[in-house]
Amino acid sequence: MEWRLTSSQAISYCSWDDEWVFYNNLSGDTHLLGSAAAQVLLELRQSSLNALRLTEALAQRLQAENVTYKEFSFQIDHLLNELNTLGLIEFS
Amino acid sequence: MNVSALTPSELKLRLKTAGIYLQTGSFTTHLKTTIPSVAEGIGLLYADYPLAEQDCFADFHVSLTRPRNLRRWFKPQVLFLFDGNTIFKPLPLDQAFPMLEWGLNWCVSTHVNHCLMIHAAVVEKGGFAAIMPAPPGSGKSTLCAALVNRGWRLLSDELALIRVGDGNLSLPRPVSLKNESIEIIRRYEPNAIFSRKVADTIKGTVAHMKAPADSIARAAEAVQVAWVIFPKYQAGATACLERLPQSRAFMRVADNSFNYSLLGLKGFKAMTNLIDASLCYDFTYSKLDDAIEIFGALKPQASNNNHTYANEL
Repeated sequence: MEWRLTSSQAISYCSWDDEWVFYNNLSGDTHLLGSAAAQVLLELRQSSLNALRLTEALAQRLQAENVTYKEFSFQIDHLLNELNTLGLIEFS
Repeated sequence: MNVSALTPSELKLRLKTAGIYLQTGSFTTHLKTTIPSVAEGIGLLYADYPLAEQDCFADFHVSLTRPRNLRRWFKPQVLFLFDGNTIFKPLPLDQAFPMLEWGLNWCVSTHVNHCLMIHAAVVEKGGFAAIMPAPPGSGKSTLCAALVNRGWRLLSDELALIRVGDGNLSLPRPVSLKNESIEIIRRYEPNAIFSRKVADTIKGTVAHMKAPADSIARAAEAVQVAWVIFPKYQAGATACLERLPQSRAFMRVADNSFNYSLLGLKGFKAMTNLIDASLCYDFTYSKLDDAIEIFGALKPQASNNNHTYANEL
């Protein structure tokens, strides 16, 4: 099961320091996101990915060495569910 | 020609008959009324505002009238009409001038959607403007009134108007003060000119302070927004200016905007540009002199931040 950005969505974003502000044109909502959530969206912009592949792709970028792989994987799962709830991503 | 060119009786007569075409910033309001207290308020607080040619284009057509019902004999009321239509429930006649001010705010906040509108005071010094968004009761207008009596130019007491694409508009109008703030500013600047206090309004006791003549004369001058400052009056607090992450400021300014959501992507871009150009702060104060000193020491950022911005992922 792979995740992707919600279809027909044109997200605009800006960031200052480690925080990101995303605008979702479908919902008209603006979201303040942390760096990890933003990186998930940026990664899914490239291609649809399942949670496992996404975890592997982001582990190094998000400096996940201080947590176990299992913990990091759990955090990514949690983020994916949150982003899905916000209508930013969906199952492909 | 300014309003002050008309004698009080000429102003009353014109308001009663053809109305006046009052210019406030980039807006023209065609205003008619037979109510003497409104004419007096305009003569006092709008004396320095220009009058446009009679019968020219007006952005808003407004009149204040007394409803012709039985109440007019024992509890007279006032109605605010926009394009001849009643917009609000009637208020006691004593509140006619405050109702005009609230009604003019309503005209702008519901029609000027080519601008990003923020519930905020805006003041300027040295070409740089500070936007002060805040909910009612935070001390925004009190601080604004103090600043404009100490060398800052008033751009607006109530509505920051950021024109999408090319900067902000000035809307210098009387500063609305309520309850204790009225006497605080009277003591702070004994030369300030106030409208008569009106008690028992929905906001408590209110009075309006005349905008400085210089702010009205310079209404067309463009400014660069340099600071977004969230003011908060807190009794007994030491004045404290604290940096606020720009992303957090973005969300809070959006919360204080009337039409951010309505503008969609244009609103997002306008907000991004505004925040990127600004240093953002929370500001707590209790003494106006301390606030003036801190505002006087504000410096604009050297250049815009290196923020990341992208469209359409």
